Amino acid sequence: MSSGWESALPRRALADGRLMDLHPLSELPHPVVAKAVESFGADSADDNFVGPIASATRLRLLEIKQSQWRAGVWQDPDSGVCWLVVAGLAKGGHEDRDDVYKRVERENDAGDPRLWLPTEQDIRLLKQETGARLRTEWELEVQRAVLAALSAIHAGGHQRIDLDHPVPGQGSFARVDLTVTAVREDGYEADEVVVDINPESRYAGSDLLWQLTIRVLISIEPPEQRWDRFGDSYSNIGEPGAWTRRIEDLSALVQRGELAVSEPGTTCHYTHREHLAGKTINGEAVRALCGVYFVPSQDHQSMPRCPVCEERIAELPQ
Amino acid sequence: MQTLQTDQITPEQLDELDKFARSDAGPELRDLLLSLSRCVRAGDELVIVDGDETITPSQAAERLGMSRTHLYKLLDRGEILSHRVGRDRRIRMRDLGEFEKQHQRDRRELAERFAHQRKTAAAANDEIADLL
Repeated sequence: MSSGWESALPRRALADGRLMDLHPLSELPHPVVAKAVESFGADSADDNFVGPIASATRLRLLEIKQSQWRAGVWQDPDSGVCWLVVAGLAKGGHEDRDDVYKRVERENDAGDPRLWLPTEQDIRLLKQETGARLRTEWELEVQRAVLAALSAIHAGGHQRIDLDHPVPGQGSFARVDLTVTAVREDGYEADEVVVDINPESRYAGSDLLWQLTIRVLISIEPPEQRWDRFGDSYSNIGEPGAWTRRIEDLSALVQRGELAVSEPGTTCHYTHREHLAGKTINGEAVRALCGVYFVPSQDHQSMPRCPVCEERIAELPQ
Repeated sequence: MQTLQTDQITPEQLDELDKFARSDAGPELRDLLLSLSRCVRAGDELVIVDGDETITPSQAAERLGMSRTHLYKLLDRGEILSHRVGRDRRIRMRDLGEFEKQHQRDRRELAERFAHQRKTAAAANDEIADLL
């Protein structure tokens, strides 16, 4: 379809082969796509199409009308998924050569109409999209579970979260142990939290495990650089009362059904100049003079300097 | 213990050092110099310690900037080697150094994972898609 797009982005992405940028397919910005989505709901009894397209005799295509646009939807008999497979303009009272029904008729009679059917790539895109939806729902569930655990142990204690795989029927995914310890000593007062993540062995090192880990950490404390790590064990040194205060913000996010967003560092650091060159391009982390690791990608000019780094650079012999 | 700053050493100087290590130094000195230059190139600060010197867990936590609870957990699990002097625990500097190498690698990876969350999310979507 060459016209009617509400944004130039999808066609540009398609031309460049950036198929991942097309997600979500059901929200592609075209009136006839929106109409098709609206016409085929979860319950097929409520489906709202004009009728089968007469010129498609070899494949049953259901007709969608939206102003001058016409589209054909094919329903996969195996999965029940509805695919919008043909679309175009209604022209010249359906007498014009470029009229969508004329084109359907020609392809129907001349070529192989299976050409219209979703390709392997299309099916993969849909699966990725379903994957993204399942993952987001799963992360919201993780965030809710962390809120429940934190509400119980914000001032001290231990809680365990048992988590299933995001795909129904895949069973257990990981066990997450949260421990909060209130340390009150002369000269050192902190509410320390330790997060231990024990995945089922087949998920060790997976990106899904990283997704879970990052989600748990952000739910507890969004500033990235405050987290420490050794293996699958993570910790954070909170001010006294920090986790009690976090409950309010996290509850608000859970109620709105939004995921917490991590906060990158707010100061700029000193690091060895010669190590910076390749790292910015490759997205690798560098170690700052103060000991923090960061990926040098942000616009550091606008940020205040890290005081610890400043202190250390002043100590260096010139 | 002595801490040496390495910020003023240029890559050219390190290249010279490597050249010397590979050509004129004997095998033992070569290994020492090459690991030295590797550390400097990685941006690590150099700390010279007596490996047999011991410190308490609290001192170790402070030195590493690590949560005490976390450090005790790792000691309990044997991730950091320690021994007891009476009722107290002591950690050898050599063992702390071994732990610190892995600790720094893990922290670096965490920083990268935080920075590349979109990439991880897309890869996680793919892992889920494979099961559908």
